[in-house]
Amino acid sequence: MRLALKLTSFVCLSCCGWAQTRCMSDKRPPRPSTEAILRISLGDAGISFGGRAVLHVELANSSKRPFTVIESSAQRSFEIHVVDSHGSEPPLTESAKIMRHIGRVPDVNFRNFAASVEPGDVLKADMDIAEAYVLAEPGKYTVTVCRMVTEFGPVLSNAVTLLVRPQ
Amino acid sequence: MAADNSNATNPPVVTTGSEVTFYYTAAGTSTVSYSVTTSGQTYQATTTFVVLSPTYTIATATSTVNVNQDNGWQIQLGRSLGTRGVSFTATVTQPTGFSGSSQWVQLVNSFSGKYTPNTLTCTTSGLDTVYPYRSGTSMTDSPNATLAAPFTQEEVSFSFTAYLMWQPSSPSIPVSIAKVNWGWSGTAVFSGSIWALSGAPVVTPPATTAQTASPLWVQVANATNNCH
Repeated sequence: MRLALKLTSFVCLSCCGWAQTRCMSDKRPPRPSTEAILRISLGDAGISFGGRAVLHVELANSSKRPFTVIESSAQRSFEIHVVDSHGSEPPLTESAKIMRHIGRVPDVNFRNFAASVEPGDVLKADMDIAEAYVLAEPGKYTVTVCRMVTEFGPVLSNAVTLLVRPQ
Repeated sequence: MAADNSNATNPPVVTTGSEVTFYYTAAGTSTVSYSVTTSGQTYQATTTFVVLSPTYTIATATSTVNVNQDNGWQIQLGRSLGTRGVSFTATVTQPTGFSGSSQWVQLVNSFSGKYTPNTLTCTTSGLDTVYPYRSGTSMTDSPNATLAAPFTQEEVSFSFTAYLMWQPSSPSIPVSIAKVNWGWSGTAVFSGSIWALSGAPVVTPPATTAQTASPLWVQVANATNNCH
């Protein structure tokens, strides 16, 4: 019985995590892909309050055919999503609000083109999570990334845990 | 050391020493003199460098300004998928015996967005997002601006210069060989429940010219930082 409860909790957390993440341009729930593999890792699993939280992101084409992505800035191309230990999303920064079309001014995208990712190719980016979220409370945060792939729909990354230590 | 640097850039501040780095950015010939003084005796040597540059052609194409819902409501030149706003395809012919690669660097010369009813105006200029904009001989771009409440009218104007850069395989800085000026402007209004174009948008067709000066910028263009 206890095992069943634990299993239920795990499944629920997994689903909740997915439910929180949505690609801006496609409202379908993103899913991990075995062909367009989206991997993320933290530069440092723990940061001090107010510090820089570097996130390494890779999108690899492990299929045998090219796929298409829209290239823009890293923050637009790879959407970071963060939830705290209660499953709540922390406040977005103003620049992230603008990119999600809920900011005080319209978003303007200067660099915007479709790019083909060939089999074996890997797109890489380093981003600062603090540019997207105001991590005002110390604690553990779950980080995922979403990326639209034209042929596969919204793709979800693995999840990583970021620890924000008190000052 | 003394040199005819009419076809060079980044002339060295220090022209003394056993080795001086010098980058030529245009084709031509350059005479370089080198003097050594030792034990009160001065010796001088002179040589001439012949600098070769690639030749190029650039094919350009443009699309039309439209309002779409590809990523929420937006006004855009072309579409992100499908017909690109602009596409530049360069054919670069390398000098015989040399190799290298091409890349594009794009600058936002100016952007202006006027949003009503709050009469908010945003402006910017600078590097377009990242350096380089794209590796390879081809680039496309379909810039766009979000159309969203509380605004009911948005007027945007974009001006760009795309630089075709050549990176020789030998140790070198990337050098500019051509530039393409282009831009577009348009106005969208919200009426009822939809956004639509208002008036006739303008597309400034791409104009290609030879360019040997490097692109310069002091900031990355950000259309949301400077609003009043």
